Amino acid sequence: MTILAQNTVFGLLIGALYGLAAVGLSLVFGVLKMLNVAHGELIMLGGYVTFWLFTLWRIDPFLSLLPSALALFLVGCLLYKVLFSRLLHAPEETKVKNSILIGFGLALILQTIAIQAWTADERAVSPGYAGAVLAAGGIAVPLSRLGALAVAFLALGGLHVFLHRTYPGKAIRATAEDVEAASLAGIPVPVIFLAAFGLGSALAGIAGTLVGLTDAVSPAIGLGWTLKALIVVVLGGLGSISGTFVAGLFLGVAESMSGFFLGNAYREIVGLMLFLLVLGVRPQGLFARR
Amino acid sequence: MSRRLVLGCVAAGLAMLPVLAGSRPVVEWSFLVLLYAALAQSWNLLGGFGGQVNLGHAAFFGLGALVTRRLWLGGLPLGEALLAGTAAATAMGAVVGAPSLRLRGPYFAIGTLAVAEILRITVGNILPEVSALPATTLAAYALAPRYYLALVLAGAVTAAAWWLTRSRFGCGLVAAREDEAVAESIGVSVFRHRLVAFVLGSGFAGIAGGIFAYYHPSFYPSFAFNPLWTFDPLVIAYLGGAGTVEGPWVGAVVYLALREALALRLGELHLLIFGACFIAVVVALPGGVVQALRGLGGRAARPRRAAGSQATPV
Amino acid sequence: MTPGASPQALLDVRALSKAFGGLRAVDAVSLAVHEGEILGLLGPNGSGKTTLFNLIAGDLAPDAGEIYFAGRPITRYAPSRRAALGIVRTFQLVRALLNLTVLDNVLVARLYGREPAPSVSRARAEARRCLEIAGLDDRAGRPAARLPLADRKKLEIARALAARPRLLLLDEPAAGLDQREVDALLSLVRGARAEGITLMIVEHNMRVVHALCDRVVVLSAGRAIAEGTPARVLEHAAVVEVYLGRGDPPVRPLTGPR
Ligand SMILES: Nc1ncnc2c1ncn2[C@@H]1O[C@H](COP(=O)(O)OP(=O)(O)O)[C@@H](O)[C@H]1O
Ligand SMILES: [Mg+2]
Repeated sequence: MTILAQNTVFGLLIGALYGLAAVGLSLVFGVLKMLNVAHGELIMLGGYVTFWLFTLWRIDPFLSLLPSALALFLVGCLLYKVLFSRLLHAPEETKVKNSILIGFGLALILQTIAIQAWTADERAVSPGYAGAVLAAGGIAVPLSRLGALAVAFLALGGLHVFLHRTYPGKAIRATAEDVEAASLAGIPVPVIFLAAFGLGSALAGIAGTLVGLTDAVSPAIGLGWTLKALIVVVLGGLGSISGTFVAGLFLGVAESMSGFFLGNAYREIVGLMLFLLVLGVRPQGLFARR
Repeated sequence: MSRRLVLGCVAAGLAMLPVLAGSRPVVEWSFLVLLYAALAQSWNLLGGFGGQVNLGHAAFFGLGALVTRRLWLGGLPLGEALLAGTAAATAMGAVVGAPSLRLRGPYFAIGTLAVAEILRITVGNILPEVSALPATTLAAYALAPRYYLALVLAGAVTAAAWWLTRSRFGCGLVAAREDEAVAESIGVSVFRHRLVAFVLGSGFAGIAGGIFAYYHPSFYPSFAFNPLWTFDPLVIAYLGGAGTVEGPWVGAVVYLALREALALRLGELHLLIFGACFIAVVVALPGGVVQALRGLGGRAARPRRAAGSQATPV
Repeated sequence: MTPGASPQALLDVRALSKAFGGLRAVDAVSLAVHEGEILGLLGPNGSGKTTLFNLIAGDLAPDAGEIYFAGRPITRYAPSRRAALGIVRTFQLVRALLNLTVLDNVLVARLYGREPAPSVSRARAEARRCLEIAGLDDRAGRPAARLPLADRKKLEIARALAARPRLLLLDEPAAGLDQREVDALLSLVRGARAEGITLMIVEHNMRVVHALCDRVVVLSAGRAIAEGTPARVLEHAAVVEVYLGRGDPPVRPLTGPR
């Protein structure tokens, strides 16, 4: 019983990260109808920001959230300007397809750069509280993971408030809903596109910092995170942000449970099964509102 | 007619190569060209002619390699092991394609990527040990049979691609790429055509994996699932020209020559150059080298024949 | 009601509905099209004509209602399957396989659709015939993307005819054509009918409606509000009301929703 509870808790902890990783991807897809499959590499970069800030100047990972988000925001804006904005005028199917292809090439480039710059080694940060564990009712939770969970919730809460309560946020949502109508209503659509891509990348930066804090960073982790994010985005329903986060938690718990029942070697298979099942039975996503 | 002549000469040259070429590295390099051309061409069947981006070709290559290797080393005759590997890859293609090709949007790209990565991780977990050929096999190892297998495969996939340019099915597949609604309105089942092309391509990729398993003396089972087995054929197809019969061949020669030259000088950095080339081709030159050359050839280069010979602005 | 209620009906549409969000684009429409006739579908912009075509051709799934074709329930068939049975449509905003030649566009239709040609070479020869009939034979080798609008509209019809329809749905075929081109269209459609093809035509050009249609149905806000011969229906008070508010004759803007 406690083991099950322990597994559930661990699933939720990792699932929150899946959700956060996926939300940025989902945001970009929702607004731009582009799928950035180099999203995981952006997460990887965020992890390195945290690692170097900690290693060079002992800056606490939680404090590096802001610089990481900022740095990735800028990287995102740059990538959008140089690459992805070229697809804006393509028809929708072409836009999806070519964004995937560009992202695919980009992932290779970013990964190679990271290997050249920082070697292929795994890197981890070890602040003073790294080993600390919070135990309650027989369930042990690493403190840093709990902190990561809190940050993920805060970031998503903040995103929700931003998208629903502020003018720029509403403009982003209006653009996602209907580009033409938004443009007619006087919303500066090109700026919104840039901002959405930057924001999605900043979210990847935050996720990357949390990955750096709770796990290890290496140039090769990108594809794995992209994959998790993609699966979560499909489970949650393409373009649905709240659905995405719930799906992240769901996938985390599902993996954790299957790791427990089937053995850790098979935990990844569950994501694939879920993915194919959802496509076959409920392609609008498990948790989509519509 | 001159085209036929050229084709015949190339085929004869390729067939004679292991006999004529004095040095093993030349045969080895040619083997790789054939393997990569076959793999890229198998991706091209759906990716180029059907316009659907498969991001998980490595899954089918890897499955073919895994199954073939284990059965072959387990004592099964090579032919049967290859057949089983092909069957596994084909079946996996159907399992992934059936739900994901039915939907519009990025589902197919995501599904294929997912199957490849998840298989890679899972295989790495379950079979962490390197798979090496036993000493007796190594002692009898000869490159020529590997080379000829790859040659036959590359020829077969290319024949399939060529068939697409002049058959009813190929016309339907290209029509679906150009405009789904129009294709459906005149009776082309978009889903069925894509699924068939995909399953066919998966099967061919499985054979390529099987040949790789027969060829390579020692590799980690998960290596055959490495995303580079997706990336390389994609780059090759785009470099040469996706949706053309010649594209994968041109692309494979250019790619492997460049890789040889660049890797020597730049080490890992050559991947960066390939990534950049790939993006440049997708953005600026969607027809690849083949179309660029045709463009130079001017009007005469206008595809006369069926549908498929047109380059793919994906 | 049994499917045999109107035994001679080729197409039988029963209480078909489709809503987009809160908007009822097609609202409980019932109609029958009989073998050999030409049925006109009239109504102001946004009244649901194209949506009804999308439902009949299978490009959209209805929220409610049934469609029978030659007595067979086809409500859940994919568009390609309906095309194989003989329901073929053209698009109001013309579409084509842009990177293929004009001939290849028609060739594909000849290879699929109803009664597909037995071989590619036969299909190519027959596709050339289709182009001749549509007056496009001198453009056969051009990429479809390089055709002017009038020729693209011809290509729409040539492609549809090449699929050997039993029921052909034409969505505003005369829009954007000049007098001479409209005449060519009229003879093309008459030729199709002479070959036994049944037609449904959405058209704002009253000359075309009067010249071709045996019967018309008028849609307004998604509902069928009138039905009868063109002369009778166009006198009908409700119809005049529907049209009068919109200026006469109603003209479809080029950039409308399809
Ligand atoms: N795919 C769609 N999504 C949302 N609304 C649509 C869609 N297609 C049509 N509509 C709406 O349905 C109504 C009927 O459109 P349509 O069938 O194109 O009319 P018509 O062809 O008679 O001009 C219009 O108000 C149109 O805006
Ligand atoms: Mg209309």
